[in-house]
Amino acid sequence: MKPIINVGTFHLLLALAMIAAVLAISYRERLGLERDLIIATARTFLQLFVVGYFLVYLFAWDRWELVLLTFILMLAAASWIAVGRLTRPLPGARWIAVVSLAVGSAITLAFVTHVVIGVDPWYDPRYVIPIGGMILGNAMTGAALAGERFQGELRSRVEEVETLLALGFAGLEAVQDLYRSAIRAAMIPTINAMLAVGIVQLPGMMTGQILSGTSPLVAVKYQVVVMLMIACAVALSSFLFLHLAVRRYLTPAHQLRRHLIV
Amino acid sequence: MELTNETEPEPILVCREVSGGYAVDVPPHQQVLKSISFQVRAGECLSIMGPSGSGKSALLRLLNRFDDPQQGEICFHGRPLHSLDPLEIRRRIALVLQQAVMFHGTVRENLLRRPGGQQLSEAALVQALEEVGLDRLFLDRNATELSGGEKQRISIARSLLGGPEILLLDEPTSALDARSLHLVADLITQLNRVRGLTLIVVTHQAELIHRLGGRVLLLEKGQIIREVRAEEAASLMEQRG
Repeated sequence: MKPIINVGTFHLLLALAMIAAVLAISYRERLGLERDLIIATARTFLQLFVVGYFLVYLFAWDRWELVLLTFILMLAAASWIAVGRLTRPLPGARWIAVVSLAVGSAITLAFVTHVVIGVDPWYDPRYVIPIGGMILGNAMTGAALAGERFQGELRSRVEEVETLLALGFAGLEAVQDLYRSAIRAAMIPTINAMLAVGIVQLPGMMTGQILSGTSPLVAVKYQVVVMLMIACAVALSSFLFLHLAVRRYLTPAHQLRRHLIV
Repeated sequence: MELTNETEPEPILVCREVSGGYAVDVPPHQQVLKSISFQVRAGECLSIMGPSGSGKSALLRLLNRFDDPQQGEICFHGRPLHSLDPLEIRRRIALVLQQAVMFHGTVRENLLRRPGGQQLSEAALVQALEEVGLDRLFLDRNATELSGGEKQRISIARSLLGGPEILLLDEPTSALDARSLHLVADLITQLNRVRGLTLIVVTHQAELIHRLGGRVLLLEKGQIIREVRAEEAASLMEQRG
């Protein structure tokens, strides 16, 4: 098999010509995107190189403590971002995000690396870090979508919920429909991705494996595992997030905390 | 009518020095209501009247424990509300919200949506409709396509199915045209006079107060400024324009 072609520094800089084309269009059409584009390009270079060097050292050190620490940092960032996407602040949401993302991701990651792939040693960063990152990233988006959707539904259907409460329904019964629709909203992008996968474009991970010389059939098997694990992580995390968050909007006396909604 | 019997019935609901309440347009820790005290006897009809923002709805929402007061106490049959099961309270003190929300589906499906798996016979549904002056044919109508007045009546019927002792009505006729207002006002009066249901009605409409009769609390800036008879309240409102 032919070795993979490394992209040299000079050739990488040549790739900037593509951004020059975007800049030209932005300038000519007065889109005003030049500044954002330059910052975005610089950050793309910086962030990815920092991660690249970090992974080189992480793989070389090969210690489970460092892998765990990396996860904790990723988890903190993911929780922060997920909560930031809520339109209205929810007291305690950060901890709810930490718990739901940690539990949902850890269960999925342990199952995939231990049972499905059989990674050895169990913490091998070459497998655990990229797979864990994909799981956490998708779980984050799922939890944020579920939380945001629930909040939106509660705002627009507050009268319906109050009608049910006034009839004597328990708080959780009164928000049941909203809760279901929020979990559905979190799951639908993942299910759509599963329906479309491979038809128009190849997923990033599979493309990467093929480019680096892996047989397409091996890459396909990994991609199937990735799609299934994402579905699992999104479902677990959005379910846990809502399960905990919904109770924040209600009091033990089945009252709606309207100041968190309106 | 003179009371020949000396013993008056025990008050069913008592508010003592109640402050707090929640309103959408007031910051959560600011008090909407200030030191509200009143009592209601079984079978009575009490109206609460006042300009918008005076705390009428906030007060009503304390009575079925949609909110808890910051200070003071509300007692139902002599027992503090917070010592009772809130779901039980909401069945016995039923609140009919200003906006009559209908769930998707037929009127029958709307009426059958009961808490705690309460089962209802067809006869009970027909009777509930009759109590609000609607024909049994309404059971198969699409609830979301009804007129405002019909929705309001279904909404009242739905609350009656829980067998309440007190009915709280928040601006029951404010969204209705004159004809529907008369129908709903007459229906509410009937519930009080014929069925003996205790009513607490929040409204700013003199017409409704006039038809309901009974006592009226005038609320302003979260305080009860006066208590008058319905006839007096209606003329007071006309003077103010």
